Amino acid sequence: MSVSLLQIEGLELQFRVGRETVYALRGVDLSVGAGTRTAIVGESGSGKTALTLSLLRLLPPNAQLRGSVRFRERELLTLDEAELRQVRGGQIAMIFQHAQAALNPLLPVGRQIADVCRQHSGIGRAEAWERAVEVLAATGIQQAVARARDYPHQYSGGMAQRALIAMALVCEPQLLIADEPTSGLDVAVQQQVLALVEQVVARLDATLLLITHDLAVVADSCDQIIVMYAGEVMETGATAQVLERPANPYTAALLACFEQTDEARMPFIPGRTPDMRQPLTGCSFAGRCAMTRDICHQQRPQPLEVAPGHFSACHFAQEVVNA
Amino acid sequence: MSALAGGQTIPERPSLLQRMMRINGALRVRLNLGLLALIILLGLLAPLLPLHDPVRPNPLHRFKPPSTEHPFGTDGNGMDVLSRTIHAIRTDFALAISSVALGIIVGAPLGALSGYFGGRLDSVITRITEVFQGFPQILFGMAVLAAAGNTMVNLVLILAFYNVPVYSKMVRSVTLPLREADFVQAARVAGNSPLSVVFRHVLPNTLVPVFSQLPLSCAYAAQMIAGLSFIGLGVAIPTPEWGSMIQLGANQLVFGKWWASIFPGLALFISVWLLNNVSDLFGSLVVRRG
Repeated sequence: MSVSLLQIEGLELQFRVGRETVYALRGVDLSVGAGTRTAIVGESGSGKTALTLSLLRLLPPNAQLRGSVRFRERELLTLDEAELRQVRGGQIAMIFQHAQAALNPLLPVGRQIADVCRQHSGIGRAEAWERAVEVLAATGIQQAVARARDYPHQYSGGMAQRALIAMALVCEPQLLIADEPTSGLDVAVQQQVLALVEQVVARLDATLLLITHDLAVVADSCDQIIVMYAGEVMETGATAQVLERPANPYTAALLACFEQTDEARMPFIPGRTPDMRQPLTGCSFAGRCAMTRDICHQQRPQPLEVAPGHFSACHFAQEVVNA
Repeated sequence: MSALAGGQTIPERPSLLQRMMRINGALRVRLNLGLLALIILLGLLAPLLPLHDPVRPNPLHRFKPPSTEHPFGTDGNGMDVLSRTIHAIRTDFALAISSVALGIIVGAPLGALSGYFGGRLDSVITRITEVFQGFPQILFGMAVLAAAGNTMVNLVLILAFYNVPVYSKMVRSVTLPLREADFVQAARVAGNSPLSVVFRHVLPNTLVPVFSQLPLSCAYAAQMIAGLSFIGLGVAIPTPEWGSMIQLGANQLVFGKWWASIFPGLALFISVWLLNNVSDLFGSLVVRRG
């Protein structure tokens, strides 16, 4: 594995809601290597987005965050606000799910890109504008000079996503987080947007953290994969390892849903996700897993290395991978 | 137009009356805005129009009925009512607009800050604005004008004082959901400071309801100005102002000398009515779009 760019240890995120506590992240440990393209997969509510927002400390006031997030050897969780703002957008940029909603409806697109640029590089207004037009053109927007003056509502969904990518890359960040960048786009545009993201990441020599629930996307564009479930990391490893020889029953079940092509039956994982308002004692997947035994309810599984670089948090990881 | 598909009947042409009842939204906006613009234009051009001097008394021509010389008659000081009614547009609209503008300039940022940051700042701002709104308006206006001096500046300040909470509450309520909007989140992710998020991204997006409320506030302010002036506070004679003009003619109304009060009264009524309409129409356009 390459040098670690992002190192997360024991990250716990809780939200206080009235008298209850919601456990959004239950001790996440992971490491993202510099220059890798890493996917975080998991179903809705598994903590994918909560994880990325925790990195940048963009959480509502009722959130409690514990643990350690090291980005380029710097601890982000204790950084002061001003330094953190330099990291946000400057070193870690993010692409959102709904591109059109992620643009301010009252400012021309080019202006918004130029603003981000000025924020982090301190260059002048005119220069920032030129830079904005340049990156818009680089993301494949036709007639970028004219288009930069347009407002977000004049952009199509795909164009808005391109503009958002332009905004993310204008400061040449080291880490690009893409949170479901293709949802809400039609299939043809999805491919283009993904190709663009990959191209941009390659050119900047940046690291990509792609959040998705589409395993097909993962297989195509990522080399590392992190599977999350109920606020925990279930399995990590190289994409080929994880997809071909899953070492965790949850990953296996998830893959089964994608592989099943029987049109008549919608594939699903039986059972329900655990109650996020309760602290867990055992394995978070124990209630739905076909292999559950007593130990699964009593003891939380620790990550086991089933193959070099391939970890699975399951008591029976070795059995699963050999199955 | 191309031919209709077979079998369709062309609906009968509606009568003129029916058509007039069914004036569509856009036309109604244009009509109301047009009339309002006409009134404001009349006020702006008043010094250039061939009118009598609005503040020159003429003791020999007191309470003259409408004539070709004085189309709206003259008032108790022998001043021309037409000229004064038109010149009063300047006074009333200038005072109303400036007090509302001041209220928005102070109130909108307060509301955005209070809604965005929440917590103690929000409690403090909300409590203060509630205290503001607790004062009985006319009574408070009378007290301040009597104590601090009967000047137009004080009048504007009092009216602005009442508009601050209106706009701070409105902007606060629109800010609350915007706090979670994707583009606001995106602005934070891009490394904007909290104040720059509030003033560059949140505040401008709260202004749509503000603009639909603006004419209504102006109408209300115009009524307050006229009301205070009617009871002898606010704008004093000889400055042309509708409220004080109505007051001056009111005593003669019972003697059949109606013109000194009725014309400024009508002007006030029409202005307030148009402002209300415009506000309503803006409001419905906003709702339809949202």
